[in-house]
Amino acid sequence: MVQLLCSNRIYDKLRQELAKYRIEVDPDSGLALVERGYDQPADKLCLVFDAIDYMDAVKLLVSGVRADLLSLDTLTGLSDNKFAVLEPREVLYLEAGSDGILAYSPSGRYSVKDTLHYYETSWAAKGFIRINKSQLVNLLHVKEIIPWFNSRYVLRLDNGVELEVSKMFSKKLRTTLKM
Amino acid sequence: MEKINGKNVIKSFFLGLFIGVILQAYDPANLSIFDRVVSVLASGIVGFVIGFITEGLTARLPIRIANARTYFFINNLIALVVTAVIVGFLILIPNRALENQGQWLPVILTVLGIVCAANALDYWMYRRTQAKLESFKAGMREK
Repeated sequence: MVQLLCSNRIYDKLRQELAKYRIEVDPDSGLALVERGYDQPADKLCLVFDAIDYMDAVKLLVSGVRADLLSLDTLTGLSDNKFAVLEPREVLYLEAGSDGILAYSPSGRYSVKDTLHYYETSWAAKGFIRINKSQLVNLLHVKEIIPWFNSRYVLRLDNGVELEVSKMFSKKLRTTLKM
Repeated sequence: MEKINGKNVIKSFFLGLFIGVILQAYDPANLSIFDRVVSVLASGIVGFVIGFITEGLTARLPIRIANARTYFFINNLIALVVTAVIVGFLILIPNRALENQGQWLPVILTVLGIVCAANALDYWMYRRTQAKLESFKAGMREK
């Protein structure tokens, strides 16, 4: 939950963006997003932003300043006309395809609503990392990292599936694992 | 072509320079500084060319054949081919000074030694990567 102290125009935009991350707007919250020029409540933790940078404030908020705000512990996916609730640790990898975003788990594949970028941001702390333009992998399910030529890698998952880490994202993998 | 990693080609150039410097130890003592610099640069250029060809060829390898065994096999195959080419050149273009002194074997051994050391380092990096992965996973599970 977060309190918003800003102009109506920014309020609507912020509310919309925060809803994507399931962050509720509540005037009683101990955390406030305050547009520059507005009064900062003395008894609250305030994040002050310029109107033009309101998205940066959202990014900062969802990237871990208040990780407890992000109770994104589940994912709702659709498979065979049935909804299923998955925990992040159950998800092997996420893939963007022509049918939208698919979450792969040992029990099957599920169509999910949000974007890859959303999961990349909000599930980074859960071990998810972007490995190419269209895939996000859960490192907890990676069994082996196979080096390949031209600075690429192949990740072999617990279920035997192999995913390519492109040259562009291999540096991110090395940084994440402190290789 | 877009898969070719320019950094690796540059690294090959510097590896070539390094080998060139090491090989100076086996060159006749009467070579001038200019000749030595030229031969080191030539070695660097050879490294660059080998790196470029290697990157070009390996970029064409399908990712579906990727596994650790294949990777190290191809790596060593490349090292073997490159060394064979160098030996071939040494035989085809006789360097009288080296021939007379019977010094071509140490040259080959030096090149082979450097290539083997590079491969050993590569394998160590592979093992280290797996260890880092396990360490990361253990850290995540603790959280």
